[in-house]
Amino acid sequence: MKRLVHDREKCLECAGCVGVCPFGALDMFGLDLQIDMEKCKRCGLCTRACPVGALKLQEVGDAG
Amino acid sequence: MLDNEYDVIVIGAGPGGSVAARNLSRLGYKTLLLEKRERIGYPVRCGEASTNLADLQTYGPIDEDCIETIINGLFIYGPDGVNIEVPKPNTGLMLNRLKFDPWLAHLAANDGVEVVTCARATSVSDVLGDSRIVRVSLGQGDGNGKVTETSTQEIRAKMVIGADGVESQIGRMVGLKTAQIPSLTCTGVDIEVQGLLTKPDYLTFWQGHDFINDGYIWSFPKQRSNVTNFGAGFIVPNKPGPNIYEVTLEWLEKLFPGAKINHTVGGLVPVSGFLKQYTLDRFALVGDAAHHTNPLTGGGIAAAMRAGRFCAQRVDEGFKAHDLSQKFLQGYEKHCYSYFGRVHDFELKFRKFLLALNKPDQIGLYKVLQGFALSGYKKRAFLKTPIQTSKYLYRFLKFKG
Repeated sequence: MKRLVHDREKCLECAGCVGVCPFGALDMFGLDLQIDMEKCKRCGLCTRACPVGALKLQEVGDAG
Repeated sequence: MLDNEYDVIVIGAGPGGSVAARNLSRLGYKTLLLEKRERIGYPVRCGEASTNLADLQTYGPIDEDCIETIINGLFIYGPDGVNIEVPKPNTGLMLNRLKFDPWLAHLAANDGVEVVTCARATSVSDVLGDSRIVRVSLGQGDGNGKVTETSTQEIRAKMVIGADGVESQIGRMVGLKTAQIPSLTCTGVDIEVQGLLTKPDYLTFWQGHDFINDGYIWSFPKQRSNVTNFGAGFIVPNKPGPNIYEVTLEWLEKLFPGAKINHTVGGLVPVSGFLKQYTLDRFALVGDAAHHTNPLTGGGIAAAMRAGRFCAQRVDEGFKAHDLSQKFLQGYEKHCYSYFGRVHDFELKFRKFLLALNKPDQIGLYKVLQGFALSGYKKRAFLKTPIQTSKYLYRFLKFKG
């Protein structure tokens, strides 16, 4: 299971990810990126579009 | 609290939105301009070069503070050491968008537009009677760009214009296919470096190099601030790899070792050519949101401003004719297409042609263009191109024809 993770330190607040997300799962108000985990299909498109690699799909361990 | 009814609501206070709003207000329409960010123009998401002065100077001279450099030519470092110099006195400007965007919005406000920041449109309704209803989230900024919602309001408008840039959210709210398509979108960064790295009144490009074949690297001097915008853009890659920031840093270090970096901005650029449709009943998109950017250069400031003007003009005609239907507003799409859409279509084809060439062909084409440039752009000299490069010329001409 993967999950989209946003690195605030790296983020340039350009909101490009908002424009490429095919599912409308991303939104930016002010300088805060909001990720709608319900809508996110973990396609990884935003991770490739982000100019600085601030978005990553990370494996979420289910070894609980 | 804002009024509950306007003639026109424009969403997004970039160059396209501000110009559309200002022109409509000057024509007597009650106009509201919404900007979701706390500061108009911040963060900058642009290389800040513009090469179409006529569009920028629609209102007369641009405030000097906004102009960093008068551009007098282009210099292109092509593949295999083939360099092309294109002298073009007064061909464009380097802008300071941190000043230019607020200046445009200020002009709009002076002409009666109600400009509101920290205000985000969260939904746009279908047409109800003679208007659409825009739900607006109003907020408070903390001075550092962080916005907290304080209230929401529903506002009626007879016409809604979406100029919300690459995010393309407003178009989606009303059912237009505005989402950026990765293979037709450029991802880019712009690193501000201290001092002037390249010819101070030229835009300098590196194009056709292996590492960044489907885009280009730029060095744009900002004389007034004594800094250089060093940046790059390439098509969103279809598989994971180094991001454009890493690539650009590597090139900066290679070309200008030890350069002092001030700060970095980033952004995405639609390079698809115009959207097929960007008007609906009582609705239109302007600028990046309508993919009005040039698909070869990625430039979009002048295009957005021109589209803003054309849009305002058609909306005015629509109000007068009591017709703001999609059918009528299509006139705006046609106007844009005939003025610069056709050119963009050509440049899109040219980009595809350029990228499809193999390396020797690409170098050959650059040599032809170099010869043309060295000849001072005389057709006769062009005809004297050596035999070995003539096949590239032939392909190039065939492409054009």
